[in-house]
Amino acid sequence: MSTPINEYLTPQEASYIAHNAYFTLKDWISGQPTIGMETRANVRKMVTGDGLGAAAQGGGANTSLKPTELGGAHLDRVFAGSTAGVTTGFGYVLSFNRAGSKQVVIATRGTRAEHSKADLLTDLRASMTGFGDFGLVHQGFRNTFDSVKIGLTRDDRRIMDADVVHCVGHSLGGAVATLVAAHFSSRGKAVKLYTFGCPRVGALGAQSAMEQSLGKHNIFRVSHDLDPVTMVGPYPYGHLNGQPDDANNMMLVSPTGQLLSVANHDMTEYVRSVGGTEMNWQAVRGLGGAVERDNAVLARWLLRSSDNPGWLTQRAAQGLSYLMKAFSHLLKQLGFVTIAGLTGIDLFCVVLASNMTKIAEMNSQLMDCILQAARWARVVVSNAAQLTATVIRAILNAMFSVLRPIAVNALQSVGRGTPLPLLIGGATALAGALIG
Amino acid sequence: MERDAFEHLYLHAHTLAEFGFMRAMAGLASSDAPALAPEQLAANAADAQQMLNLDAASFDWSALDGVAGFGAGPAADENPVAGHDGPTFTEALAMDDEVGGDAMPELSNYLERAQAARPLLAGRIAHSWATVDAQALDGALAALPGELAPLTGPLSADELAPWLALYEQRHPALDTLVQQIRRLEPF
Repeated sequence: MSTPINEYLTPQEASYIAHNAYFTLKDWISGQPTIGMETRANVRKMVTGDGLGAAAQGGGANTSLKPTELGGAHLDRVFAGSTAGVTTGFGYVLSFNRAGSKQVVIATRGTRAEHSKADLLTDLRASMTGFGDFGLVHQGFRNTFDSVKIGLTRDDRRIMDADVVHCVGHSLGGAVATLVAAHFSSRGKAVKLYTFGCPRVGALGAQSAMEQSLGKHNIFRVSHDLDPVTMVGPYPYGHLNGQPDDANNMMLVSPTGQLLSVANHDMTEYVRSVGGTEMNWQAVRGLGGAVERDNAVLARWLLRSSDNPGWLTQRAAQGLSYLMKAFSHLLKQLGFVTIAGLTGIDLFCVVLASNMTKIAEMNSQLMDCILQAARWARVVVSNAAQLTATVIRAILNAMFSVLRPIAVNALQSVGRGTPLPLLIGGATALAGALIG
Repeated sequence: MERDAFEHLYLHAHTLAEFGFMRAMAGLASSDAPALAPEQLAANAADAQQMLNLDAASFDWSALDGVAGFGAGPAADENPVAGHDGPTFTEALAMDDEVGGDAMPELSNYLERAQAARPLLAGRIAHSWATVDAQALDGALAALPGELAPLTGPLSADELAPWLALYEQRHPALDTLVQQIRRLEPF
């Protein structure tokens, strides 16, 4: 799929913009951010100025847009946003002309743990709420969007007058960017959306409705295959362009290789992955082909990183890995290819919500898989008739019991300079991508 | 039963359950399902699509009640089961090489690891020891085949292997014992 030049941001531009959104947080540039909003002058310095200081924060990369085609872009406004009641600098609006068209960028930053647990709490609120005609979205993301929308009010005319609106964000910022994009799309604007390491935003058709409004080809979803945050929000939540065969579902090999790590979520790692001068979207899509889409690597991290040092518990994580692998393998053989692209926890949620035990009844191996899982979860079930929703819940809760301490550990191990922590939102699906 | 005997039993019961589970799943992951007719495959694919495209009006949330994070399920940040002295990321990378990544471990290696982890499991073993129904446990042990080396003493992999075979055959008495031990765990 070719992408017309000028109508879209390049991967470098999009990743730089997403990275620079963090500089709207007060004193981010000093390395010791505090609650508040950075001055516009400082943000401009980092976004289109000399970018000095960014190198230290960006792991060696100066992500100023100055050397790019957007070097002459105008920083219109730095706006605030609220997460769980704490208001901080949250993003910026940038405008520029390219190929004769007026274009606007709305950049939103992601979660930072250095000072703001409020951000994390927003991610933890895995409730649902309505979002216009689109359907149900994550309540926390919606709340943050509402606060950002207020900040964007004064730029409304500029945005509505633009020929193209680019919405860009990383992590929570990607989720908010998704809602901002849907919002302006619903008002008739031509919107392009670029997300990096974005959690799941919508559920039960909302993601499809947003895809339809924006156009799937205008949604650029970049993720590292072992970025745990992209798994936040279990079924029935889903990604925009989340299907394995979506052209703009660009899942890249994680910087940590085959281990699930918080490092894979860091925006600086995304800059390293796609921020090269030579990179275009076709090349990014090509990188996706190198991903070994095997869930086992995910649980291998669980094996390594469980905060419970017991060998048995660590091996329990590996047991989960095998369970997911077997389940996925059998589902694919039976033709259920689409749901085999979900994570392991998603799959069991599907089983519950869709009464999928009926499916298992037609395949003895699938049934055996679930029965074995039940046994592992300490529920003795000997035949299909005993395979009730209660049993599936027991399996799910057993999975969570292995996974939860890891997420808690990640949340509590946050320190200055560490990558973003693993986030768990409600029944977070950390059990591994089963895309195969 | 002495505490030391219980510790051996604890390790062996969990080893049988976890290792047996892994082995069963590994087997299923490499098994071939009977070939379905193209029409059936297409129907299943359509069903899968439908499962992913449920609308809010028809989605039955009550199905997820009681699952962690939904309804009355436990909150994500409640009850961490242990401290924070697990491997660092660097250590984990080293371990990855050591145990051969995703490869199915050998029983001997697994058992050796489990026994080595005994001090690390002290808290969990103590919890199980404090809550075990000794009488029921003795009853379950008495129902086990007597010709095998007892699970309450130190076992080699060769000695545990026949127990594993019995567990995989769903030997009722052994299954009951393993579940009894497993259910002593806090989660």
